[in-house]
Amino acid sequence: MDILSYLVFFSAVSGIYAIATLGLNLQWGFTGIMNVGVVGFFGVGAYATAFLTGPAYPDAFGGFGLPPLVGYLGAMIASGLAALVVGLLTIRLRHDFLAIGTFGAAICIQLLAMNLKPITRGFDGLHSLPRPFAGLAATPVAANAYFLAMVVAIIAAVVWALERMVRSPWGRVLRAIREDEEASAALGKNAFAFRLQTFVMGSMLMGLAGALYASFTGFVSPQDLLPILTFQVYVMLIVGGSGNNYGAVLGAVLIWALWTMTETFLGAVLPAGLKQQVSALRVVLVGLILVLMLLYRPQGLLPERANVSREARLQG
Amino acid sequence: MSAAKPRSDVPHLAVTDLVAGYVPDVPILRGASLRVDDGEIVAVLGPNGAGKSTLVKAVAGLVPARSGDILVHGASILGLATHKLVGTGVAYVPQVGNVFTRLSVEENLELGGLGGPPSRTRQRIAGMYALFPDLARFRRLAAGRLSGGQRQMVAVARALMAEPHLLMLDEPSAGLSPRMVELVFQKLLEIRAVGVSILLVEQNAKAALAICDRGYVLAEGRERFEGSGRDLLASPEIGALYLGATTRLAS
Amino acid sequence: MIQVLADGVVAASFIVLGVVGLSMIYNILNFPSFAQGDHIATGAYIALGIVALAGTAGSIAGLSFGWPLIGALICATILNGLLALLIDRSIYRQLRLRNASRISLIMASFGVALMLRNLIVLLAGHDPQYYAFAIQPALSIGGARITPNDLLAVIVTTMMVVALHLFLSRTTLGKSMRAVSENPSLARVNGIDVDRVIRWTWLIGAGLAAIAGVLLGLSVQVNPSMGFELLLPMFAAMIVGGVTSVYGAVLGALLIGVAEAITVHYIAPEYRQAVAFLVVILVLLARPQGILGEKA
Repeated sequence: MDILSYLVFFSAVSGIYAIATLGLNLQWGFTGIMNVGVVGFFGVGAYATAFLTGPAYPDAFGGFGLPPLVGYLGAMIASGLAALVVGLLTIRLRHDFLAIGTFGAAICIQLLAMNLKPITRGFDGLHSLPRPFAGLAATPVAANAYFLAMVVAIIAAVVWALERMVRSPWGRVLRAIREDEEASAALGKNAFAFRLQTFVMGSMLMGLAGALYASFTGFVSPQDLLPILTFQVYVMLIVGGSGNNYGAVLGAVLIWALWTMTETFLGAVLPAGLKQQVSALRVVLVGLILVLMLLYRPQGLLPERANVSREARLQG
Repeated sequence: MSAAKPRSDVPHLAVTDLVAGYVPDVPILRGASLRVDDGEIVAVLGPNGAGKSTLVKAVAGLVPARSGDILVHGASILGLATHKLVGTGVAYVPQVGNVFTRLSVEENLELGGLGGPPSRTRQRIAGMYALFPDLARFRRLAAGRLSGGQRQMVAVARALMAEPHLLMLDEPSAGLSPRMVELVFQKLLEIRAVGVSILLVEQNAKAALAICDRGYVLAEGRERFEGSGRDLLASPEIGALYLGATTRLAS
Repeated sequence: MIQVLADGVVAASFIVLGVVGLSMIYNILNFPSFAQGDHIATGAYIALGIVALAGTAGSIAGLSFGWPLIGALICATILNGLLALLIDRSIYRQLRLRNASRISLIMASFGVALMLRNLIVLLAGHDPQYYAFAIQPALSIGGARITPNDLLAVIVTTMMVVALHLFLSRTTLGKSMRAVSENPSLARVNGIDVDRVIRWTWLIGAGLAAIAGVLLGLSVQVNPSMGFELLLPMFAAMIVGGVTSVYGAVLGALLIGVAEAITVHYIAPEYRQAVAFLVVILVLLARPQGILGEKA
């Protein structure tokens, strides 16, 4: 693969991660909702788009051959609904129970992907999804470039919208909720509604990321729904700077670069046949980065801007 | 635990020019000093936010001191880990959360006497049941199921298990009925009678001044007045400034 | 029905040994450790490494292994505890010293979980492994068929729970642990060295996790994600039992184990893991403080 097409491919995937990271930033960075089920909503989006846009599968219900755009919208609606259900059940819970609850929800979603064969085809997954722009572009590289342009446009739109939202009175309420769980409990129903709103919106972005991922790779299977994805997105957000939308994007690009480069680098250095070990070493490395960031730069590379008293919160 | 019997001419506790607070640059104590001599009951009074609780917490090592000194028998305990405080013969009864609610009364006492030989611990527990007969009846009960007054007794007994020479209490009267307050303060006199000095932080100025030998009035992180209990109680200035205010608060 | 119950108790015994540590860590260090499952796996692999060196010659009374495995189990218990202690020293303790939020600790444990699991893959590979291959005929007890290895798991777990109870109710260290878990600041005032209690918490929590790992490895197999798959059931058991109580967690584990066995027998074995999640949600909605928990 020549360098340009590799760069396009790399940028598109990191852009997809950036969208999921922006979703998590809305939940965790701005509202303090610790969603440990990122991969679940990502998966719902991926499967929903495959269900809507995929070719008719002989052995499964679904595959309506709809245009990718419809698939993306459907994915956002599906992941939003999933988040609504999970949120109604868990969003009232304390931080740690919420983390456990969303973690469990993601595992259940993965179980459904594996076992709900009439729709998901189990481990075989849903394949041959239509690639967007495939008909418009002369070459696959050009199609990827168009796709990348679309992803960048989506990121720009999402960042613009999120920046406006968090600066609005609505955003200030979110931060109030994040800063003080006790005080926000006094807000009662109100805080619940705010938390639920951000949980659903953030999860819709994760669903959109899943949809883009499925349509970009043309394939989705339970193998794409491993908890490691949740971990990656968290590391991206923490490295970039939780509470900062630009940080979320930066973190996604950096960590995805590290992730792919370690594979390339280690793959070149270590003898072939150690593929397992290479990917294991990569996870250890990223885990180490997370821990080091938590210890030495918990605010991330691009700290949250403005007045918010995060320091005081960490000490209190 | 069995610190050598202290010399009576050196103060049990001497706090000098103490600056302390939870957050750097926002000291709650701004140069407070006080002293507790052998066999004394010393009360620390003052309006809310004067730094009374912070003072005992700083002595206990729960709030970091920025400057000044804290001496126990003339030796500085600045920077001493909280869990080593009992070893210096100082016991502390916090205002809230001062008993282990899920542990039985007897287990609370056992933990108070940590480190001593088991036979000595058993002996001490028997002594505590003699001092607080109510507790013997509830020895197997989880401390969280006791009434406020009984809990306060457990907390004091637990602190005494370490055989301290100085007992620090943070608002022992808080939340208790007047009758209970009287009972608890009566016990404090009994405790002093067996040779334990007492440092008492109180909002209930009248009750505290009635039993103390000396008192300090704290305001804005410094001691403003010092005197015998009787003098402080009689001083119109103090009554108007602080004690009147606290009585109003209490009523 | 008897068989379902027996299977449930066997499944519960692995959860019990893991959840005790989870619950102790939760109560004393104040965060749910997402790495507890992987401490189970490291324990199993440490024992596997020792067995690989020493062999599993022989067979004791119908079990699939010989005395060397018992030795390996004991060594793994200790080494796994020391490993956890090392992790605490280098990561969690550093975070505590920086007054990091509970969320940072949870994230760090998430990182530790993945690092441990992938270190295992790095050193031992993905493929399932076994301690021994000796064939063991199942025993029939009261109408339920159970293999000697599984029976051993239940017996060892029961012994550990009894020992734990004696430890927590009779020894000074045990009482100190209960004290710290309820009120660390008062514990300090009492002269309890909280750091020492934390060290023992890791030693005991990860030690029991190692026993769970070896027993689970004997019952099923040893693989890198064996512990991670127990994480959700363990969380469920802890929450169902009302997080403040180790005894509640043991009861919760029994409930989850039996619920899993019922699902496997009567509903759909592939959704076994989902049961834990559903039970947690139901319990949290109906009785947020858990079975034995106290109201906040």
